[in-house]
Amino acid sequence: MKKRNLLIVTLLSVMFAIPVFARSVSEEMGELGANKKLLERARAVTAKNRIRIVQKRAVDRDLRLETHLGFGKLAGGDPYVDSSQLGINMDFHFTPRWSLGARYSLYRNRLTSEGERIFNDASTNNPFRDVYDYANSSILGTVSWYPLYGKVNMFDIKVVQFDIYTLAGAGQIDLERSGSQPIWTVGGGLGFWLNNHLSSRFEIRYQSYQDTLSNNAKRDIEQTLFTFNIGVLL
Amino acid sequence: MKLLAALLLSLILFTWIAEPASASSRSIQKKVLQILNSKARQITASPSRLWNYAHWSSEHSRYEWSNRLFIMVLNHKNSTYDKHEIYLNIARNYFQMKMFKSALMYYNKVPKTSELWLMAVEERAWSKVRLGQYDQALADTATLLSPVFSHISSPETHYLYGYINLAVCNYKNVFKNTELFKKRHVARISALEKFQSRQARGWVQGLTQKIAEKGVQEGLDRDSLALFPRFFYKYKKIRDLLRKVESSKKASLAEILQMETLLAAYARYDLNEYRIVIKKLQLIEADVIQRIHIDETLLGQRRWNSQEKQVDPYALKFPFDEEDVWVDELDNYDVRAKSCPKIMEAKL
Repeated sequence: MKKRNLLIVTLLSVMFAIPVFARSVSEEMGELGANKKLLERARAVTAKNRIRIVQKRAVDRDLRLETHLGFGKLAGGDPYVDSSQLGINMDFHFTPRWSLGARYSLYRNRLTSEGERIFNDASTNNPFRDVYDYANSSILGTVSWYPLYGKVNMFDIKVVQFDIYTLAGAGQIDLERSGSQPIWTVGGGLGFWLNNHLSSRFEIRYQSYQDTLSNNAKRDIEQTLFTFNIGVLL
Repeated sequence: MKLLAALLLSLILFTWIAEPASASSRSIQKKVLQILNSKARQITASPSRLWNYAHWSSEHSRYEWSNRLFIMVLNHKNSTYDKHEIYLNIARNYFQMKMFKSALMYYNKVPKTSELWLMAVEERAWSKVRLGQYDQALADTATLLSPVFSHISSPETHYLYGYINLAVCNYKNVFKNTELFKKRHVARISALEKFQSRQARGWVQGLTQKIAEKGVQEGLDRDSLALFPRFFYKYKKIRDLLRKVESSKKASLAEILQMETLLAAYARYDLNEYRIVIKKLQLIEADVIQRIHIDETLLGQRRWNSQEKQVDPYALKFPFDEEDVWVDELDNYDVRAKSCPKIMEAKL
């Protein structure tokens, strides 16, 4: 009886004592990674694993047609004429790396302040307005290559992917006096693919053609065109 | 003699309690078979009944029955059950059946927009581990351990990561994982211990005040989620209490005390989970001690764990920076790990 009671009391004491000696989770966690020598040895053994991010393009540009409307400002060329252009452009994307395009632009021209001064000083025997062989419109075929890509955080609203591209092309420009003349262009830009149907581009192009002076001499015109386009991907 | 009588009484009591349970089990089994073998075009059982039977089947290791019942719930015209939860349950059944490829198929059906997605990613990673796809499992752990999910990720994720790194003998990352575990969870464990010992009334009052002012949706912010027991707001009793506080715009002392009691219980559950994870991590460290000696004598003789995965040539590839995580990159990691060093065969 006494032995049995002693056994029950011992068992009960052990049951109540266990929580007193049980360690807290915080104490147990402190023992993790406590072996500093082992840590040093582990760091010396390099596994050379590779980890990178691979993600699909948010906007699929395989065999897709993009049409974009652009507004541009020209710099260079005739010093007395200030030109801007409105363009309707198309690009057919074969792959995300290559596209074939067409650019049709309408030019709007006006005299610079210096040009106006000369115009006002000109005599009636030498009508000023026939001197200038300004552009009315142009049409170009282009090839674009998109070698670089990236993404940008748009004001914490959305992550937008973009491509940096280069382009080259040639076509015809319609001049006021000379008529249709060949033109070639080379340039580059930044294309933002806003969503599956919307795009925007910032483009800088160099273009060159020949116009005709008042003495019928040919002159090389070299211009830089800065454009901003909003496009629709079909 | 008295002890023997007490033992006999307990045995009789136990048998009496157990007997009705097995009878009800047989009757449920009969009903389940009736539904599964029915050739009727329309299922007459309600979605909730099918759901309960599906869970019963799973608990009694009848995984194929469970899957068939879950599919019935999915296809039932009156079903209001979340289809992603159904996919997750089916995937778990396949995992239990050791059909890991089928499990992966269903885990992949849970989209990123679902609140169950993170759980699916973790369980998916375990399926990949069982298939020996350590690279892909590591890619999943990169998502799970992202700082974006630090306040809601399970401690078991660290065990998973540690286990995989041990499997590919990447010991540096085993210890890096331990450091990360301690860094991320030490505050939480300390908070849970306070909840368990009912010393966190201030936090409970703070939470109820936030809920009263902003409502449940906005009141459950990152701070609440970080220190409170994991997913505490999903438990029905807590959910009902929070809704009561939200509607009455204040919390009574009785409600606060009730919440304290419930949170103490949930905290105890979470702490047990932590205890198990810590023990597992200690086992991994112990295994490292054994293996590291072999690795030191076989320096440089590692091979890639798997063949290079063919990726779309036009896919975007970016370097991985664990400190700078972009949300769109989550679940888009590509890992190539090297296997454990092997002894090269001698050539004459």
